[in-house]
Amino acid sequence: MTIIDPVVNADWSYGAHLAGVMAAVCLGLVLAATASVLLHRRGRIGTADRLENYVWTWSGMLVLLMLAGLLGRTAIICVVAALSFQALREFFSLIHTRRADHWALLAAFFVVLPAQYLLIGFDWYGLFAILLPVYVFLLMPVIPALRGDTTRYMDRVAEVQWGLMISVYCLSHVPALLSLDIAGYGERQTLLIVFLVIVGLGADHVRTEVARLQPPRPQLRPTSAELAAAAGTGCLLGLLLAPVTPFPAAVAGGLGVVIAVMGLAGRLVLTAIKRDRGISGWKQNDSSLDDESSGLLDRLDKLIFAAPVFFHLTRFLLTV
Amino acid sequence: MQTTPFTLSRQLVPRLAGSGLRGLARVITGVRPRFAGGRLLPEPSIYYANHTSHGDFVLIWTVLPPSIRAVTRPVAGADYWQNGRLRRYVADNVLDAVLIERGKLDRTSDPTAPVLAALDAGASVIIFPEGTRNTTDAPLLPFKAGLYRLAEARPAVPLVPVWIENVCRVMPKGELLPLPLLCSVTFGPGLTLDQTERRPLFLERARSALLALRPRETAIDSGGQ
Repeated sequence: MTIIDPVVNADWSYGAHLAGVMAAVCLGLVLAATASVLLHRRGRIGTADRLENYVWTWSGMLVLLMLAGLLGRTAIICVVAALSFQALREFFSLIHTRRADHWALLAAFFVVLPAQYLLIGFDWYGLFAILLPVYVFLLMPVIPALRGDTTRYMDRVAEVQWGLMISVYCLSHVPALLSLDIAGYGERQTLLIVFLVIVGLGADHVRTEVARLQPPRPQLRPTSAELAAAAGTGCLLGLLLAPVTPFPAAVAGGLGVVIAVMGLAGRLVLTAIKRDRGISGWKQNDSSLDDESSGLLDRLDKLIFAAPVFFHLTRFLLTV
Repeated sequence: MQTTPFTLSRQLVPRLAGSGLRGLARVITGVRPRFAGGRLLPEPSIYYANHTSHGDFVLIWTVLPPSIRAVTRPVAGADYWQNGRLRRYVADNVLDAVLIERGKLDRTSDPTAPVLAALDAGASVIIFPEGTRNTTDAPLLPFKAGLYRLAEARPAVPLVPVWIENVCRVMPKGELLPLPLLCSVTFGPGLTLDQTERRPLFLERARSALLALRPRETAIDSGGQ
């Protein structure tokens, strides 16, 4: 018995589902590119350039999602594990650690991260859901404590744990979607990743444009207009994508709102961390001196908080 | 010179070792250069950098443009690099290091002489004016007099500050395995000695110019061991 009965469009094969989504995104891209060219001719160069940027971002995303759709589960897990590794690198490059943390950090990169993704690969839900929040949380602080350096001990331990939760634990819930066993949905779980990414990114982009219409302000807190824009777009995209998901339309719309709002929350928290560290982009070793250029975490911040929540809601609502 | 397999291998092995070392540094640290003082000049220059790890020189070497890298030599302590055949081979053939004698009491020659000779021969040099690896919590130790003496002897040669960020955390002193943290190398605008400038003032000015290149204020806390 599941809480919600999965609604699966059984007439369509997985390939048809995937092709349908991709065709819709392509159509949107063609329209946006045309609009960009027209705006450029009319002399609205700033808007045209922004639109062109979005077209490029979405084209890249389309290619990535297409590859993910065609590649197997193992390949997707490996790719997300690699993304996690880079995200963890960006995070750990900015935290306070001392020599006594060396082994703890090595363990984070080369033991904890592979272990988490192996558990995802083996589909061992009971352990991957608690490995970081329980076992790593308990064991990691032991390493620097054994070495006896207690200078700013709490800060160091907490920052290492945070880096792991954000870069490894949260992100690992993206490929974890692939192991959800939904009745009648078969092997189509990659479409859940497609749903998460399109809704998360779309909501964030519309929110960015709405924020641009408002006067610039120093506060981090999003305005209610931004919140409404994100939630509305999330809901709309969720409804549009509902046919390829196992969700009834209303649930898909609701999950779209949840993904958008969690995306906003993730962005807010990661921006707060960046401000704390005095940077504006995560890739702090980039060649440009103004630190403006983005790192991987800047691109992923709208999905990081949304992924585990989307995973758990889907699991709770649609699996036995 | 005739090219025999022997001479070929004598050139090839150090070259391969050099690119291997740079490749390794790139993979582990993703190191990128930042030019705060414009492009680097091909004329002989003295690059002076903060010193926290054995990886420091390799990182600078990795990010230098190839044409400048070809003529840039590190200045290193003879006591360390002449100790053992492998170290000596690496210092002479791979790094092409200018070895100087450290230690005020037991040195027999002027440590600036080989550096000046290298500059006169058209090379640029990399020196670490703190004199030793910094393992303290301070971001930068006071400079030794060597930098001043080089500037005094060759006033036309620009002194380019180079700040290396994060390497001390990639491989702290005494650790075997490196951490894959992101590093950056920032080159500042070159400075020269004023005719009237006294030694302590000059060293302090050079030191501030180097500290000014630190990417973030929080580096104060993360620089320690």
